Amino acid sequence: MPRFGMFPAAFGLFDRGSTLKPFEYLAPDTVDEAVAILTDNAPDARLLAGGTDYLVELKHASEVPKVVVDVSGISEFKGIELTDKGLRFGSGVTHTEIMESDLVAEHALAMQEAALTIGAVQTRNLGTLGGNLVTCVPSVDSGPVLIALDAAVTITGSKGIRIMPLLDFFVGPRKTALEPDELLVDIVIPKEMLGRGCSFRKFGLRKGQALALVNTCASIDLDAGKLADVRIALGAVAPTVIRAVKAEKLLNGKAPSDDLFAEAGDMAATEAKPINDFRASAGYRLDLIRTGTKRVLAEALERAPR
Amino acid sequence: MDVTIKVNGRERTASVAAETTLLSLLRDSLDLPGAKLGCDVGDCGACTVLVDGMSVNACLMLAAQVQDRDVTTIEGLGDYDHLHPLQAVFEQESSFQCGFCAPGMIISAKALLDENPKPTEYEIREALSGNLCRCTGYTKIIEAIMDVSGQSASHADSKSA
Amino acid sequence: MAPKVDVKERTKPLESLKQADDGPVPAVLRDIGHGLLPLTPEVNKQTPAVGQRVTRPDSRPHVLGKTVYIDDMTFPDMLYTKILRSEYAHAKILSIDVSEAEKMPGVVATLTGKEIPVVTFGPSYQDQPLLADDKVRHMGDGVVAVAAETEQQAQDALAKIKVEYEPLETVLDPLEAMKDSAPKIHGDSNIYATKTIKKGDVDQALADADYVFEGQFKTQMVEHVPLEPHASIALWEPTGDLHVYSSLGRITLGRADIARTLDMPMNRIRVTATIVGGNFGGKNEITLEPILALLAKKTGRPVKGVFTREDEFISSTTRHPFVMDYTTGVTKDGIIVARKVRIVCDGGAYCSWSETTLGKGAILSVGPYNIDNIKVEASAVYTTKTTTGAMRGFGAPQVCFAYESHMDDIARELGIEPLEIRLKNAFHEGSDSPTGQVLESVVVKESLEIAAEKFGWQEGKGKTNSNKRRGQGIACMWYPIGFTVLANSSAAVVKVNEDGTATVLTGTVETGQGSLTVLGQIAAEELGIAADDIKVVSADTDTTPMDTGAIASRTTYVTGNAILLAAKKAKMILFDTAAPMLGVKPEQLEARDRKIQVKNFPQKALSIGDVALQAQFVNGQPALGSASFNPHTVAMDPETGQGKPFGTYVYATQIAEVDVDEETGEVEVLRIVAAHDCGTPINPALVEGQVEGGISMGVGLALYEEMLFDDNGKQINPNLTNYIMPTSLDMPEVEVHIVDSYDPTGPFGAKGVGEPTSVPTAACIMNAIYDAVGVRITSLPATAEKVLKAIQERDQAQPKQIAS
Ligand SMILES: Cc1cc2nc3c(=O)[nH]c(=O)nc-3n(C[C@H](O)[C@H](O)[C@H](O)COP(=O)(O)OP(=O)(O)OC[C@H]3O[C@@H](n4cnc5c(N)ncnc54)[C@H](O)[C@@H]3O)c2cc1C
Ligand code: FES
Ligand code: FES
Repeated sequence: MPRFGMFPAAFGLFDRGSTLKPFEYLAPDTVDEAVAILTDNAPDARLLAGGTDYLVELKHASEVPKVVVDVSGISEFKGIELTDKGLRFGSGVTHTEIMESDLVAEHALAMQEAALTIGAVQTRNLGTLGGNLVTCVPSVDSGPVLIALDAAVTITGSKGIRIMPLLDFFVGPRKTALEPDELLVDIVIPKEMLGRGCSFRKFGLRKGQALALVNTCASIDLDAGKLADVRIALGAVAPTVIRAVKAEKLLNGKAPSDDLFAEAGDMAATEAKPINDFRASAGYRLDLIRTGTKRVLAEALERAPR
Repeated sequence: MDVTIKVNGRERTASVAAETTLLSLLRDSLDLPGAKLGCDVGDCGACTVLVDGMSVNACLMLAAQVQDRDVTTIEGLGDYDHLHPLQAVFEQESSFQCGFCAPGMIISAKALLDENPKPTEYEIREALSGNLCRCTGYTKIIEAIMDVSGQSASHADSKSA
Repeated sequence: MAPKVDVKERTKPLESLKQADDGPVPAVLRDIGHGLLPLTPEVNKQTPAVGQRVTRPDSRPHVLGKTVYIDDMTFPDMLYTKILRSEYAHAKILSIDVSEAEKMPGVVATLTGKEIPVVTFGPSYQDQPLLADDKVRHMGDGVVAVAAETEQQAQDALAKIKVEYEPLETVLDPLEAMKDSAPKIHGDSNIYATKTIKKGDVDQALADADYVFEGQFKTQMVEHVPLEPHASIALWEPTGDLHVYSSLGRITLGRADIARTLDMPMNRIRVTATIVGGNFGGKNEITLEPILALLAKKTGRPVKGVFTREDEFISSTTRHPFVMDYTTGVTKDGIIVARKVRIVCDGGAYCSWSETTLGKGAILSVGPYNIDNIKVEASAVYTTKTTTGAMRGFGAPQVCFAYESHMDDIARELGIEPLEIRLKNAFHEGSDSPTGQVLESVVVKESLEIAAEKFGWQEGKGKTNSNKRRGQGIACMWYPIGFTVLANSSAAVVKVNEDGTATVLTGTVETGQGSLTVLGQIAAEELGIAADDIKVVSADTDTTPMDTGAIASRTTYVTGNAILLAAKKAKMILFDTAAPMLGVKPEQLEARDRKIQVKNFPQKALSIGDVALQAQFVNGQPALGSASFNPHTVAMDPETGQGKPFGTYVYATQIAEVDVDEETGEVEVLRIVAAHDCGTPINPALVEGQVEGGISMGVGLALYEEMLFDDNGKQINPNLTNYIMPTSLDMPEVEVHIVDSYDPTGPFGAKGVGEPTSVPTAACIMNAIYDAVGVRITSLPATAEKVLKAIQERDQAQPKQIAS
């Protein structure tokens, strides 16, 4: 069918022009190649995985880097597997792959709960766990579960490999511990955390495709009917994901009850520093922390092996 | 740079700048304007196409990222005389109004049914939540997908799943 | 393709009329140039097209992805335009320097307001500049346009334009803007339109009433969010004529505006609309068209302009926020005796469609209720915010939210059941409207009863789990078809082809609502042929006759009537031609089953094609009919508002069921049952589609959508990430019921249905929230945060009352 009003098929391809400013595109196959490109071009090179954060950023940016390095073809970044250290997610694992993984369903169900809340199918098909964590917005939806399960990240760069707790990887809003020439390789949930009672809840402004006003995750163990090693992680309530350590302390060693969980919710709210913005007031976010914490604790308890 | 993709079963090559999106490659270089630009940032789903069978927002991929991959757009589903069953049921049930969302909706529906031939109403709603429609309220779209998957569009189990 | 003619979809009123009425063709139809329709519709035994779920003629291209929208069109050598918008919400422009921008790569031309022959436009007053030349009045005002080889180059050049502003004080709140001390946005008063409606003696009646209730309600600014952004292409033909392709929903008036602003005669301008990717009132105004035309002139090349999603939010029109104060006097049995309403309408930076919005809002604000003593005072006020304009319902969703929330409050205080109090007060056939118009085909009570029955009103309420409570809410409404008194005419041409098929020419635009389908069905019904035998050609000012556009739910009623009349004229020619051939009088003929036949003697018949050939080749009178229709209205008295502002009205009820989470304030709408009157449903599938879609906009208005501004008047959320509209997961199950009614002035009894569908939704959801958790939300949207806050206040006020 002709695509024009009055001129019959008199012309060929027409370049309307991109809505992105010009950059160079490189697609290395290995981590080493990627590191080399970064080292050569840093800080004027940036990584692209699924692109669901970065291309949006580039479309709004007034300056673009010289080189965009597509890491989606790097095989070391792929795969979800059970290793002797724990459950390993390559940084390039997509949210859809997390949702479809039997290993995740068995060992870290809350990861799937969180993945399901990220964007919609199209976003989850492209968006990667690594991209989500590196973008490091306060509302990062994979953050709370991984922190409540004490995950560690592996980073590589020209100076070698570093491993650090995810909590330390998150430095501030949109700021991680990565140096300009470093890449995120994988994320590992340690063995001892697998299979514990864990639950994730996100509150947004609507059900479909919503950014988190608050997201909460709790993971617990039971020791002779008492709560043990409780971990509560809260997102979108502080510059980065935080742990509600006072609430955790309150819970550890006690017998679970609805009242106790409600009290822990109140305590968690005292530990957060949510902001007022156009999406919600700080006060409402505090209400959501109270309710959310209470609810994820109750659900984590239901899921905890006895 | 030259990008070669297999689109709707045909191998096509275009010479584009590195920063060209898949959407722009399709619409502006390959004469496939079926996928629409509604927001340019992944919110609306009007640009949904399949890449290796998986639904993606074409506005959020670079053309270079689909090199040697298999892309299906709405134009690849059927033609005037041979509608894809989803196209036929959308037509029969008037599941669109202005039609701007329809190419993306149909592609998202195809991606769903390819994986899950008998989705529940909730699964359909979940699968379409990345495709905004301002005209229809989604009702007739959901009914069409229920119908084409051989299920009568009963509202009984709606949303409770 | 053999058309399938299936009569089972016929709706009752039409069916019964078909049996009853077999009279002669009224003679008055031979002279219908004045556009008034005889009150007895001539509906008889014809090939049924009306009432069918006819497949849309535009469906095939849509499902194939082959519909050509503006952005899908390209022309050789075409340029792209981007607009530099204001940095301030209110400022004087001191100077504009485009010299650096013009040196940027790819830039071919720039344009400023000073270069436009007549820079302002607007449907009521021409107060809106195409490109601001001396003053900016909101952040969406365009200041300079750039045409470049690519979109990105045009975009990059914007940063090089230097505009010097002298910032002026902004005013964002309409109540503030009314004060004398407020900065003036145009001229010396910000109040630019007022409407008054007076009936009876409202003060006396309030004094005499058993009870008086008061309430204030507020609504927010929302965007149409058509999925296709505004787009147009301008090019100059070698003949020196201008050709504009545009996503406009009103091409005739669009051409008039283009002609005015470019100071050109209309015959030299051709406006072609494509199928529009969603309108909802937002594409009724010109935006880029004259700008592109001038850039195309300057460069000698075709120029395209497509709004970004952000442009769409900040510069296109939006829904008027209303502040509404209600005072209502009632007897102890719940009969409303007096109602006083004050409406302040945030009119944004320019008038646009505020006059119509204010007029409709004022008239409708009383509700579909018999109230003898009324006073409504409404004013529209300029603010330094995005222009407010036409949007599905023109003020009606706003006032319905207010009068129906208020109604439930009254009912509760009096201990009367919400459905009952509505039935007690609702209009009936022959009711006197607030403007003194005698109402016909009134089915508000029927809609209430049908909705209540289908929904299972008052069943299954209460707590659903430990933190959620279920509630249900009802709201009814009335809504007029067509513009408020304004000229409102449509013309149409019907041509019978030599094989008996026919072509309809109409200037209306298909914006998704299905007008091509419905208008074809009307013509087919009248000509006794099948819907598939019709082709509707629309939306090209060179070929199609004048039409005031796809707006105000008027297409089926007004354009439909014009087409019906044009078809009647064509048919008359066929009858005049066939009569001597069959040896009978024209009055004895009917058009049916693709034949002109003698009534009751179907074997005495000629094919329509043969008759059409005879008409043209032998009689010198081709079977071509043209007509126009303008609804009969009577101007409203400026002091009292009394008059007959509209041809007809529709009525509807919606009932919502919701779950409210008492700990988070989250509202889940579970289902909505809607009972809508549209007169005869010409195509039930399309009626359902309108209702379902209208409800989704209503849900957005009720719970999610709001355009937010910072203190400087800058929009905070001009994108689909942060402007929250319902996704498939947020929409309830919707059940649509069509209420039988027949409007004697409509084509085959049809009225209209586009806008009313989103009118009662917010109101019924708010009443359902009240029913669930006992809190009254008085300002939209009812975000979870707002609902939770109300619940917390409820608990503080009456800590014990909510024991479950
Ligand atoms: C419509 C829409 C909805 C969304 N909804 C949500 C939501 O609900 N919740 C949510 O949390 N997010 C959401 N997002 C954000 C986004 O989809 C996710 O954060 C996603 O996981 C990002 O992954 P990506 O692979 O697309 O990242 P990219 O965009 O490719 O990259 C993101 C950042 O990570 C860097 N990066 C990527 N891989 C590596 C690596 N291996 N090493 C070092 N740096 C790397 C990039 O340089 C870039 O800075 C949404 C996005 C869109 C468009
Ligand atoms: S255009 Fe790609 S998601 Fe809207
Ligand atoms: S049909 Fe218009 S947006 Fe879906």
